Amino acid sequence: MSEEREEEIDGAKLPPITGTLDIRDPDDRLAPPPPAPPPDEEPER
Amino acid sequence: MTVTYATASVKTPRMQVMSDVIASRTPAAATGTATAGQLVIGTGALSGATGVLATIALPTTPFTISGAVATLQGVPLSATASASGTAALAEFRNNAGTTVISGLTVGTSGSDINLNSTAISNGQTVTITSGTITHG
Repeated sequence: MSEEREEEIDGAKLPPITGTLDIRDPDDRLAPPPPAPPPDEEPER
Repeated sequence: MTVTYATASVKTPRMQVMSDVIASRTPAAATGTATAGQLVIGTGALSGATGVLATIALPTTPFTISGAVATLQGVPLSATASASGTAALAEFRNNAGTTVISGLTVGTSGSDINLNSTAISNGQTVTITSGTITHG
């Protein structure tokens, strides 16, 4: 039995890979940028 | 993540729809016979046949559209991995294998496709349980 065949059998024994697809369209780039963080507090005098 | 749509088959018609709607015209309905496309999951070297780990066949109507969201149909969709490697990229391809959407990232969180493991072994089952594309 070749190594390739052995690898195939090993893969079949493994639990399935599962996942989800969630694409945010690139038009999201056109959305306004998030507000800038507040400026640092002025140091006490 | 930013994905890339094929210019001639997606970007140009999309711009045409935009122009037509601005001009109060009705965009043309799709024509032709639907043939099943593919979701190809691969390594970071995915390009054509190179780096392919799993090819998941899609239904002939791969998405239904509601509002700004396209929802993947036929889930769960499964395929048997054809090679071993670390999944990093994915593409939607048509029946002829021509790439329609490229640059999909694959990871375990925060990616376009999130798997419970990116370590895929030849012969292992790969399943997509849900999918959406949301227009910004």
